[in-house]
Amino acid sequence: MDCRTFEEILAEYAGRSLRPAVQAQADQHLMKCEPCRRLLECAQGRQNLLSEREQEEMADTILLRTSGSPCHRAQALICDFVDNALDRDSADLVSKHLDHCAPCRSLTSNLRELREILPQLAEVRPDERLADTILAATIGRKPRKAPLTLRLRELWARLVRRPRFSFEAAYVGTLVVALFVGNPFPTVRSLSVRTLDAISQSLPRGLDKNSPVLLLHLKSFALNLSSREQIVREWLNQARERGETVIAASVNYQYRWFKALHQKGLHSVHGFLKRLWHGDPKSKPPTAGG
Amino acid sequence: MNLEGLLECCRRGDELAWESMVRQFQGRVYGLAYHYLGNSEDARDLAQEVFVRIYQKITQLPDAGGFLPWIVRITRNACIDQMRRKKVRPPVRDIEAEDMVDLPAVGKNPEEQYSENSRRRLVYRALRELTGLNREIILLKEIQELSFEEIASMLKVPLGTVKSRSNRARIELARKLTELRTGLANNSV
Repeated sequence: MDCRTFEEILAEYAGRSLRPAVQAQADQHLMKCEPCRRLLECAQGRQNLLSEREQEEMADTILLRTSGSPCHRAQALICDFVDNALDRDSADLVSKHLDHCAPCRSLTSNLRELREILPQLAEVRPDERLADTILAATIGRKPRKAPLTLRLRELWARLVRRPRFSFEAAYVGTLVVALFVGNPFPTVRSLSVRTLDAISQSLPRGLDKNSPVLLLHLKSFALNLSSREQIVREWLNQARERGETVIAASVNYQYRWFKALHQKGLHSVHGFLKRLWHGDPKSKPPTAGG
Repeated sequence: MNLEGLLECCRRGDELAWESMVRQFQGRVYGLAYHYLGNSEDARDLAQEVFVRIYQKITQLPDAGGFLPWIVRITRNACIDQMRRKKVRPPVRDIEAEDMVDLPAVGKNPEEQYSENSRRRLVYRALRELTGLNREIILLKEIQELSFEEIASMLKVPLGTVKSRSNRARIELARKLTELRTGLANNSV
């Protein structure tokens, strides 16, 4: 028997349906022919010429071209599979599908985990005093006084849940820092010295830096503009006669800043006055806020 | 004492029996309220409210077989009323409820307990991402372990709908869990 003849009778040989004489000839041929022996093994499924990955790809391709992806069908049965509620054959089919399908395998794993965990979520431990509160509200049993640590813990939990907690915490934190580190902002006195230095460096031309400066500050803002302007003009005239230096200052400074300067023996004046001092004919009276 | 005996004593006004019942079921009522409301403080208040309502009907307590669905129904109805009220006045909430919840972990050592708690919190987060009927079915079927018939009666939907939605809800929850795990893994990388 030659290889071609053996190939023609391969199916019958594998099915053991040959006449004895032909069977004997085929057996004899196989003893001598390695390729035909491998062919027989392939036909009987004892040898696979494809790698595992190639097998997977081929199976996926065949399924796509025929019935489509079986995942949909598998997922319809997967819950019963996890619950051991499928018959043996269906369970076997699902199991074989899971061997080759990572997404379905992951889904099954999650379902098993959920089956274990979900019933454990039925009871959530409340705080220790819920039962006492319920009994007080129903049968009127006086609740036991909670331990101090528990009360403090509950108070903290209530505080933390308040919407303004973060702002309040920031405020308290700032106060604590200020108490321990000190006032990060300069005092009025030190501010006045620095400010005065700055002012002295920006004195108008022709003024004497060393002459005292007159403090001209209107305490009463109830006066109308024309009255204030009149008072200020009078002050300026007096200052000129005494040879005092008049320096401009910002209208935004607080009265206590002027007071601090005054206490140090230094004086300053309202910004509006600078324009009057220079006799600027185009100077305008300040606004009501000035 | 079994549940039937306990209920009988409660119907007769036995205060000790009532206390025992409160302590036995407070975790379940609180847990169910917590799952619906997502807030431990609201859940606590609602749990108290539920027990007060039960106490007012203490002579009409059902038998042992029907007690669990009955108490779940009362709790659920109270939660739905509360959620309707809160829709009108949405609460201000600073801290995520999941950070405050106390989910008891059953582990042999602290590491196991931590791992178990982490799993539960992830499941809880996935659960909160479900909506509508799916979430209700998971709460009532998978967590409270009520029967399909009881759930269909409670939700007023056909029995077939509950059965068909049950598996879909589980799969949806499992998928959410995968997404959350994938998200966590990507964040940690």
